[in-house]
Amino acid sequence: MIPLAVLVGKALRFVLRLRGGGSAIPGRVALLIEPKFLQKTLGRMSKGIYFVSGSNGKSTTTAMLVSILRSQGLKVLSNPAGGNLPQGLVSALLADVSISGRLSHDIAVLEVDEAYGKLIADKVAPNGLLLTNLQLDQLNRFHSPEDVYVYLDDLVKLTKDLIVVNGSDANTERLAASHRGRLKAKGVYVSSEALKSAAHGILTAPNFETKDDSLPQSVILESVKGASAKIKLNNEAFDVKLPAPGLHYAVDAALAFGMANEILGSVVDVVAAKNAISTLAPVYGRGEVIEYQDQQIQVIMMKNLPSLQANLDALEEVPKTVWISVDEGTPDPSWIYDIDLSKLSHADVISGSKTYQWATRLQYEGKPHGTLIESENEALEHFLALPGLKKTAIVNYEQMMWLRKKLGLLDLEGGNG
Amino acid sequence: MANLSILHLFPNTLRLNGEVGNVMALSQRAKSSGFKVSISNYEVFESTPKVRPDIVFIGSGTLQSTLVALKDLSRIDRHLHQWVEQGTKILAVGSGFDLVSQGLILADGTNIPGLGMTNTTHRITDSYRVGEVVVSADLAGFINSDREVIRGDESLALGIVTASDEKNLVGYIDGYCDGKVWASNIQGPFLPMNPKFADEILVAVASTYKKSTESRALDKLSSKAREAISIRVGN
Repeated sequence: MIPLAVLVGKALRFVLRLRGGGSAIPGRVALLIEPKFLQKTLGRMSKGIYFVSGSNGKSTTTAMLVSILRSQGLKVLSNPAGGNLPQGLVSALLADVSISGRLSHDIAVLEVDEAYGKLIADKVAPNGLLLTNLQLDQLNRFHSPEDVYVYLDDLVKLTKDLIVVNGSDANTERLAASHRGRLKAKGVYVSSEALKSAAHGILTAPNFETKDDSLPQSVILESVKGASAKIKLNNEAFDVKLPAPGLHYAVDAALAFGMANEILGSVVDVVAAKNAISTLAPVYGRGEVIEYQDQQIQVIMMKNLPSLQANLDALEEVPKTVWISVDEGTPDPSWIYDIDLSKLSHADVISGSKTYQWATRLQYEGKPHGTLIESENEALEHFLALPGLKKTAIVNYEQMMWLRKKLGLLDLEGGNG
Repeated sequence: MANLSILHLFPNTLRLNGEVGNVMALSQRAKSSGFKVSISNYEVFESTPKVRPDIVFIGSGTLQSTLVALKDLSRIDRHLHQWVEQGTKILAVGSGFDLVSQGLILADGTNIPGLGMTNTTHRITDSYRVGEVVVSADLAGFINSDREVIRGDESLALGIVTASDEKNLVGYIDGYCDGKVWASNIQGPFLPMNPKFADEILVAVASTYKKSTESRALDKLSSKAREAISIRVGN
């Protein structure tokens, strides 16, 4: 049934894209025709399938791992962020798959959601899994990081050969350690010096386990300064230029090197791998700067507490012109009270349905909240009309995608940090 | 200048979703009314505080965090009971409410005793109730809880949820208040969002407390924030 599933899926994909949008519908239909679509396509990769998951940094780490593997001559298939469900992933695969179901790639590196990853792993078990971290994230959806631990553990159980984790995150370290009999388990560790490079370190979720879960070290992130990281791999230390400044970027790079090293046996050409990382564009909302007319707008995403704090920690100067906009994509922004706002002196304008929650927060901090305009359209106009050419927008994911569209960036599928 | 002391219990262990905002609200409001405010912390395994604070705050945490805090309570419960008898007021939100309750019943039926300061016993259920809620014009926020609160006498509850975007929360009886202990499952920044209760607690510990101009400005913003919730949930 694969040829029929591919033909129908490709036709649907073509039509729907003409109408202007990405969609999971072609994937859903292809899966109805051939329920084993993923097994019969991805399952044929000569060098296997690898998943990247965790609370934050999935998109960046996936992009870095893909770049490193490509720099070593591999043909790598990856999924756009958002293709986390089987139907979304199948939709993405339809672009590349032949009528017979063959993909010309050597290896697949897929970003998967903490909770939904199991749905894909149930269909095609990954050879290896890379876990970035376990942080406080979307409590309205996950309720507790302890629930996310269970989701990730389910994903590890379906993994066949290898797990590489952020060893400096006690939760991901414990996840790998608890499966090390069955899986080859490696840790990427962050030195105390590197941890000190960000005011709040790596912002991990609580962990009350006291036993020693130390893993064999794959990579050590030795130090971070701005957009430069020193990484030690196979007893050789080298500097890597990051796509944007920040400890979070450096950790993601170290994780990508760690996983690539295990997949390849060793990273053969370190120079090519470093170049591959340094030429990557920053992921949306993670130090990204949008040029609009003659203005430069730095976009900082507030996906959750650790991501906003990491992005604020990475700021090299206090932003002069600030717009905060948060809508219903963040149902409960209570965690903004846990954010250290010392990198912000004020806001010039606040908008979105959570306008007054943010304004109250800033006022309790003794920082001016600027003009309060619930309508995002009016707020954007106000923001663009403010004096100055360098500006900062602090926005949640939904507002970021809306803003990108308003500023003429018409890409359909974006990274989510 | 009058003094006011706040003790934050388990500030790192029970720190899930912006609960520190409650200490911020009490402190800022008292300071702007002319009080000299001191904030101290007590964490698990630390030596017990020697001086009675005016206000004790307990925040929220994961289940494991809550169990760690409940276990540590035996080290400090005698002090807390003494202090409350001597005039200390307690605010507890989220799983902090479990700590001041009669006890927390786990999924396997184990009952872990709390401080026994409320008339409620809490039971962990297998489903969460999650959503924005409105109890009254002065009380709104967000509930994200898998606890069933079993209570004999409803008269000491903070109120009943009248509107929510989660239908299972409408009619939910929230919280506890007996003039010594205030507790709620409206989590996170309960007081910044609902400053009427901050003022109630401050007046209860310092009769000279009067709301400042700065606090009135804050109240206008939080009132608009509650109004926005009310509109969203169709109240």
